[in-house]
Amino acid sequence: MAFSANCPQCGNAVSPRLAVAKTLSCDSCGTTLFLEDQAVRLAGIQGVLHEIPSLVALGEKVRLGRFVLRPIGLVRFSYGRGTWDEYWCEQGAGGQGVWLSVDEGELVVQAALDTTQARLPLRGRPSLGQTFHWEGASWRVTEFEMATCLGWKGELPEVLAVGKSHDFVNCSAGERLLSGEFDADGTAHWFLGEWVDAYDLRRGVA
Amino acid sequence: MTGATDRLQKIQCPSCGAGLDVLGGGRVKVQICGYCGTELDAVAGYKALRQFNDLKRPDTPFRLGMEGEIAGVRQQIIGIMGQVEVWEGQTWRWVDHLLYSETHGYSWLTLEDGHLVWSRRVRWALPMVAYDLHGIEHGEHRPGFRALGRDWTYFESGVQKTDFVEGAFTWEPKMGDGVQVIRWLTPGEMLSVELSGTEQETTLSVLLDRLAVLKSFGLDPAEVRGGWGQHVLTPITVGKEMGYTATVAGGFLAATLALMLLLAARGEEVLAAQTFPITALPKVIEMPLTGQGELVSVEFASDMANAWTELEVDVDGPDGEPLFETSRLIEYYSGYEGGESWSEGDRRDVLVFRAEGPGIYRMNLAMGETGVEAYGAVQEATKISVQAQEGVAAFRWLWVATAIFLIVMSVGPIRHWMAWHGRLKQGDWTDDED
Amino acid sequence: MTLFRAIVLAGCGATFTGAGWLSYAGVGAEDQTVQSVRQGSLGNGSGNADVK
Repeated sequence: MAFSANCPQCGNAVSPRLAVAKTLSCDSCGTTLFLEDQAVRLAGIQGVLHEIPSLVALGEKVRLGRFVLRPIGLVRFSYGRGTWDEYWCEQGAGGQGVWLSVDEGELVVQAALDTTQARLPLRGRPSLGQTFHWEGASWRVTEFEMATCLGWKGELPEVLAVGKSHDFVNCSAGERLLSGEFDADGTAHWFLGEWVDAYDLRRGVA
Repeated sequence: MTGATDRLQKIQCPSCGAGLDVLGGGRVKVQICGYCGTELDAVAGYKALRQFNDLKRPDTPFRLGMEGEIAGVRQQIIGIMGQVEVWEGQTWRWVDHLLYSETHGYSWLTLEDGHLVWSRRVRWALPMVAYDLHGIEHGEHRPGFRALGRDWTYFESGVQKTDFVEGAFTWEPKMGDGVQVIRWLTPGEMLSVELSGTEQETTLSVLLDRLAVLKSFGLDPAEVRGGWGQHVLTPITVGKEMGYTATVAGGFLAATLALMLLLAARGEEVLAAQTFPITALPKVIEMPLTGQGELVSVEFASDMANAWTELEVDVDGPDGEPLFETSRLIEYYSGYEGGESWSEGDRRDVLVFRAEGPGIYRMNLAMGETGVEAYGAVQEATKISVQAQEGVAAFRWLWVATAIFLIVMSVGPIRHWMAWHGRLKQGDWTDDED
Repeated sequence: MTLFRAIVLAGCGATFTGAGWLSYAGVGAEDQTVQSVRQGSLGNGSGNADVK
């Protein structure tokens, strides 16, 4: 059955993509919507993202090394003295959704680690400079900072609260990057992926 | 991607009061005042961290804040480092300029003897040999490895030091501390592996179009000295048509070999092999020829050992008039001397002549002189075999063409190899092979 | 097509054609000692001690 719903704020028809994306901003009034028990709900403010030059644009397919990605959502985080962007991307040919992290030319494609399948990289909180073995590689914690969600737009796989902060770590092993996010209650979310070269990025992919 | 700081912002050096532009993005950690050498903490309100003394400003036309285009991306110079490397009493100096692009991040523009090299960090998984300084110093053969679809050959290693810093950096530069670097080369690209601290950083370097980059940064190329001659990263242009040349020459080579087979098959037997006792000589043998002015080859064979036989051969044309007369010497010697078997001469000989036209050609065979050499088993000729073909080809021309095609195919690869080894010689590896 | 490529192609083609023709015609393959000296014949007829 086709999805059909209207924005509770302005009454405009909501994109059927809301059925697959967890959150979406209304095309008409920009209000953030999410789906709960088949009912469209308001999700509060989205934050304001001022335009800054970017390598990728929402809706525009790009090729990055072996990846073909179409960014459909954007979250901007602040780490205090700067910001970075996380693009939620569809992969070509029905692949799973991935995050493309863009931080001053440093690009990483990461997918959520299914912790029901894989062993957790670390128990508890890592510390900067710490090294550990996981999945046959030696990992080093290269960054440990706090991130604050500044805002978001487009489609995202999870509900994000603007202004909310979490701790995160980046651990690297060769061309791979493992990131952990820690909620206030200590729950960890892990993401595994690899660095991609910004100069390899090709726009205008059909 | 950062929007953390307003890029037009200025700060004042707390030490000397100089106005400094805030450069780079959110990942910048320190800014070093170019006037007094004070290192400022870009993370915590630009308070003074320490002072660098004895900074020797290197010779570079590039200044902080200059913008230009590299690799199709707008880049701004945010930091300048003077670098020095000393090896066996020789000193090399170059200037690294830290570049920042809002979209593509940080990279390096290096000025070295007037050449411009662009480097950026890569996060490639390299084999252990890429970091193995001990293996390089003690290995007998020039090390190399394959990564990212290219063959990397060891070029040089050394310890580089920084003797000048100015501007914004995403890390805290250390003055005077040596950084061990191993450099690997592939045509047109260099991979530098830095072995310091806990992390091994890898940078990829390419040579830039000097004139285009200088102009793009608003500099007058005439005022930037050097940049003459060949840099180790200058793309190797000789042999760039190797593929095309090899394809064309290879195609013609194949065609030549095919033509050889065709011409070999074209020969027609006009005299089936026949053997008769030597006592049957003199003898007249008829050869019915059909071709128009074609080559005819007549092959003679005998069975002598350590002996020689001269055959008198007269050929008359279809009109009964003599065409030519000649003789053929068939000789064969063999023996065992100094632990080795030897042989000399051939029991076969071939006569090639050009026929005038179709008709019956008569070949008059007669015995000439004979003789033996007493090297052991001696056998005088007892029988003679004769056979003939018409329409034989002169294969020598096709062999010459084959040789020409092989040379044409190999000129490109040989010149490329020589150019490449010329580049490698600029490095510090020495052995007899290179 | 660049001049270089044209030259390579033409040079290889000429080499092949020339060598093919010379081989087919058997030019230069007859024994020096047996060239005919008859009037109007194909040989060059010079310097052959053994011919009539």
